[in-house]
Amino acid sequence: MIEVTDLDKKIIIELQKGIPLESRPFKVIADNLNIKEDFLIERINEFKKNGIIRRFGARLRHYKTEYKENIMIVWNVPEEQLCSTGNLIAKYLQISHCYERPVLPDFPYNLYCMLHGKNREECIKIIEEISELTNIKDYKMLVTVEEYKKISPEYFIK
Amino acid sequence: MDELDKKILNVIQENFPVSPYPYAEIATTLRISEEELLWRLKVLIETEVIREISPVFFSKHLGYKSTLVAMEVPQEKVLEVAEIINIYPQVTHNYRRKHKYNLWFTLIASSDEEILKIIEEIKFKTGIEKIFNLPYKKLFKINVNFSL
Repeated sequence: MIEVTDLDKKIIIELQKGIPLESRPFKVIADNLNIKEDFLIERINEFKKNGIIRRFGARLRHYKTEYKENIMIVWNVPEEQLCSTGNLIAKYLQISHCYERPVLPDFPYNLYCMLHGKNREECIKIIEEISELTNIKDYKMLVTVEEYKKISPEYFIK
Repeated sequence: MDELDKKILNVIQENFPVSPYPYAEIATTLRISEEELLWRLKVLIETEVIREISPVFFSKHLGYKSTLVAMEVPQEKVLEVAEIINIYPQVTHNYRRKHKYNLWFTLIASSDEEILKIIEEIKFKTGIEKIFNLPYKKLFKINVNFSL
């Protein structure tokens, strides 16, 4: 695992509060931490390089955009076909997450993905295309009925 | 939301410059003034299109564990159970889905033990026995990006 120092943790706590809408936002954050702006910028760029920061950007509320539909699709994929199927699904821009997970009672699905589309039809088209390409016919669409919670994780807050 | 807003969102979702004047850099790319960009971002945040501008950390690299939990909850109890689950700050997503397994939530915690403890607590507080921990075995993709 990558080493995370106490100062790193303090930096991460500040960053997860959000980047201020100021001309020099990193100066504002650095001042709060009593460190130099250029040191902070260098450290964040290291986080990007070592993978601690997976992505740096704005997070949208997709239902406020054209992307109203959000479906979880689960697939029953034979073991030997898991990697190729996972990689194929991962290539779709509309797919945000794709994982292999354990199966459930009466629920033999081992590959999970999240699909975001502008409408149900567009989503179904993509799902049928994936099914066609992979020849996996046993899948389920778990349509979102209601969102009860969606927050960003908060790390290192006691 | 107009065309310029969409362009701003496409740029700012992808790669926020980590440099002294990030907004000025983005504004130059879009051929607008820094002032206009900041003003439009403020509106996009106020209207809740942007949830936040901040880095996405890779929980695993910070020593955290994550999982997806599925539950089978009687229809009339779903809202009540969802509210109990939502209290936990470690719960980041919680969705009702159209299926026998109708409640799905994600957990991020500092250890596997903490995850199991929370699941046991939820089982106890809600009285729902059908609760299943589904930590991932293999990650194929995680990248949320909406092309506008």
